[in-house]
Formats: sequence, C-alpha cells, structure tokens
Amino acid sequence: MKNIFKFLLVVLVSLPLGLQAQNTTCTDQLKMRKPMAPYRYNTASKSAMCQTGRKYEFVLPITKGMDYRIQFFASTVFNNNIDVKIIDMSTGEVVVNVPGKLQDDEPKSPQQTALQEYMDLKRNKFIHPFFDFTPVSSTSLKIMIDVKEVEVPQEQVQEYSYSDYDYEQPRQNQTQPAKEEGYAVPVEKNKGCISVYIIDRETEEDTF
Amino acid sequence: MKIKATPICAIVAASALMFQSCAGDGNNQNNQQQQQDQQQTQTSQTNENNFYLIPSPEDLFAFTKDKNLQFVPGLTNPVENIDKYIDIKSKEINFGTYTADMAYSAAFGKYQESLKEFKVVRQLSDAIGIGNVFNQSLVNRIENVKEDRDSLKQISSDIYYDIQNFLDSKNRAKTMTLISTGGWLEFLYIVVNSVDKYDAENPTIQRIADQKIICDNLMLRLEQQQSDPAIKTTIADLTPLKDAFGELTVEKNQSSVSTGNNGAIKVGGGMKIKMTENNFKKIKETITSVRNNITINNVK
Repeated sequence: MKNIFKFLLVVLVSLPLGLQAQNTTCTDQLKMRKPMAPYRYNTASKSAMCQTGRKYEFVLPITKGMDYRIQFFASTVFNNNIDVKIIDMSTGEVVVNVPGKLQDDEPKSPQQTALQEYMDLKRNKFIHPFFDFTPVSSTSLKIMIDVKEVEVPQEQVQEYSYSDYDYEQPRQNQTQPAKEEGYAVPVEKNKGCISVYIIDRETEEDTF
Repeated sequence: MKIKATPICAIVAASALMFQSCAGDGNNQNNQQQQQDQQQTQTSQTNENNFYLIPSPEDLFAFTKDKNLQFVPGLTNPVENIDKYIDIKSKEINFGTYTADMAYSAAFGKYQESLKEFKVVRQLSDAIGIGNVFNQSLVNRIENVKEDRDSLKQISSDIYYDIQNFLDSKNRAKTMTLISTGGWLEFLYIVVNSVDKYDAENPTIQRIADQKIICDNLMLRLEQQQSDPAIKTTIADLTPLKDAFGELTVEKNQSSVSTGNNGAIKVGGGMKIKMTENNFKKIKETITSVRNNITINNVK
C-alpha cells in the first residue's frame, strides 16, 4: 500500500513537469537571453521551428536612428550546418553571407560564421557571432537561412528530440561526422529551432 | 491490493486530465479559438517559411526621446470603447490599439494614463484567452511601479514580450497578427495626428513616410494568413492605407554598403521614401478613418 502511495506521489509530481516540457516552444530560445546595456531586446526577434533541407526568410524593417545587432542560434540537431545571407533591401546588396560554421578552421572574428563561437584571446572568452547594422535611411533587411541536410550518427540523433533546445552552442566536436554506412537522418528527427535574436540601441551620432 | 489499484488508476487519470486542462487556456471558448488559430496557421500559410517581422508599439515609439513629438492628450482610444468590442476580431485588434496607447503613455511617463490603459488591456486579455500572461507578479509590478518613464516603458515592453511568447507557444499566429495590426495602426494614428503642419524638414514627417516599409511588411503578413475570415476583412480595412502609402515616391540613390568605424554595416543608403504635403494629408485622412472605424468597431 505504501509503495502504491509512493508511486502515486511520483506520478502526481511528474505529471505537471511532463506537461510543461510538452509546452516548451522555440520562444524559449529567446526568453532566456538578456541583452547587455545599452542594448535592449527588440520584439521583432523571432524563433521558429525549422527543418533541414528548407530555406527560411525573415524580413526585418529597421529604422534610422537605431543601431541593430543580429545574432543567430540554432538547435544542436542542425550541427551548425546552415548558411545565412542578409540582404539590404534598399540596394539589393548581400551584406552578410556566412556559413554556420567553418569546416576546417576556427573563426578569427565574430562575423566569420553565423553560429560558431569565436575565441577572443584578449578577453579570454568565447564570443557568439553577431552582426551590427546602422541604417542611414529606414529600410528592410531580408535574412535568408538555408538549413542544410546533415548526416548525423544515429546515436547522436537519438539524443535530440523536438523539445531539445541547446541554448549554448557546443564548442567541441564542431566537425561534421564522416559519411559512413549506417549514418542517416530520420525524417522525424531533423526539426529544431532557429532564432533570429535582435537587440538595438540608439545610434551614436559621432560614430561615422 | 489488485482491487484497490482501480481507484488509484482513476485518480491518476483524473489528475492527468486536470493538469492537461490547467495547461490549456482555462475555458472551452479559448481552446476552440486556439484550435481555430492552429488550423488557420497550418492551412493558410502558403509561404510559411517567410516571416514578416513587425516592431512592437514600444519599439515604434522609441523615437519620442528625440523631443520632436509632444504628448497630445485625447488621442488615445477612449477606455469606454471596450464595450463595443463584442466579436473576437475587434477584441484582438483593439487589444493591439490599447497596447500601443499604453506604450505611448509610458513613452511620455504618463503614469495615470498608462494605468488606465493597462486595466483595459488586462480586461481584454481575458476576453481573448491570454489572461494567463497577467500573473500576480506583473500586476504587483504595475501597482508598485515608480512614476518614471523608464520603469513604465520597461513594464509596457515586458507585457508585449510576454504576450508575444505566450501566443507563439500556443501557435496563435492570427491573434498576434491582429494585435500587431492594431498596435501599428494606433501608433501611426497618434504620430500623424501629433503633427499639425507639414514641414519637409521635420524628422517626424520622414518617420511617417518610412512607415511605408512597415505597412508593406504588415500587408504581406496579413496576406499570408488571409484564409482566415478576420484577417481577410482586416486586409480590406487596411487597403486604403496601403494605397495611400503606395503613392509615396521611392527615390533610388546610387549607394553601396560600407562599414563604419565601429564595425557596423551601414545599410539603407539605396533609397529614400519621399512624402509630399498632399501625401501627408491623404495618409492623415486615411489613417484617421481606418483607425476610427476599428476603434468604434464599425468595420466589415
């Protein structure tokens, strides 16, 4: 009888936790980030459920008088295997065109990749890639994200599910796994969150 | 022992149901609304991989700091209008107008006005199934907020952020679009009606002209969800405004992208939106008519 009550207690305690986990969404990738002053969170930030082999576009209006910083975050299921392009809609010019990670090297600046962290030796810390924009006139930025097909070892894939979101990008094991027999991406496992995190601040007039 | 397992299972099943209902919005009407929204989101987005981002009213009013805009009492949607919102569409879109009013009052540090608008926003939030956002801790923050601009702005911003996250987590894209629409319309109405006379040199005039970019983005977002009847009628409501902005001239400049001293990429140099006095008058007339029809709920 005592055991049954123990079991019941465990079930009652774990039920709401389980339901809470079910309700976890991509927005959680944004929720836990706090901008450092003088930057403030821009509500146009968006986190969306994305799938390998698909392309996504985010159209962001930006206003003269504000400086914008854009960062990208992706679930580990994508293994940083995305390409990011940003187009200035006023000129049609591609102003950013970077991969999620470098294949055989470590990034030398925070603008070299979209996701792979850069080691700032002066500050002795990892910096997540960011892209700064100052509009001289109000315009839109078109952010294009190409989520590449990726082959991941079966056992690695099984670690992730729809509700698994990694908030920090892994710093180790950045290389893509070798193509071998038995490596496959189950269709139901290749979804995850990609976040376009935007922060802004008033433009510093004397910058240019 | 085997016999006693049956009531225990029943308790467990009942608990599961109880928790499941707690995880929802709290009442059947809201659940139905949510299901409807989810269906619309799934079926209507032909280009579902495109996201048209719309700034919040708090972000839109950020420029008030430059002192070119003065607070004009009486421009906001009267709180008494809340009784006119019977259908879901008018409730959702006017939730957006009151959110913008709250951001406007907060941007100018108008504590009493903000408080009044907050109460209406909270009242409407229950009606559209997002009352969960306004938890006791948020209410306490509002009641104890310091009467200064930054604290008010922070709360206004936090409310919008929580609403956005809540709706995202419930896949209620349509509701978020209607709220964004109401917020942007109210912002535009307030700013346009805060300018007495057209002056090409007034930076606020340029800011109004620049709203063409947001108008275009908003229309694209609405069109993405147009299989929803409420969204379809909203597109019709906004079409005169889209047409008025469509008359603005976009001046193309020969400009290439460069990088500033701080490493920031300078963008936007390729075009400038021009607004003449006639354009301004037409936009003022149109936004006033569109916004008033929405706030007195005299729309299709």
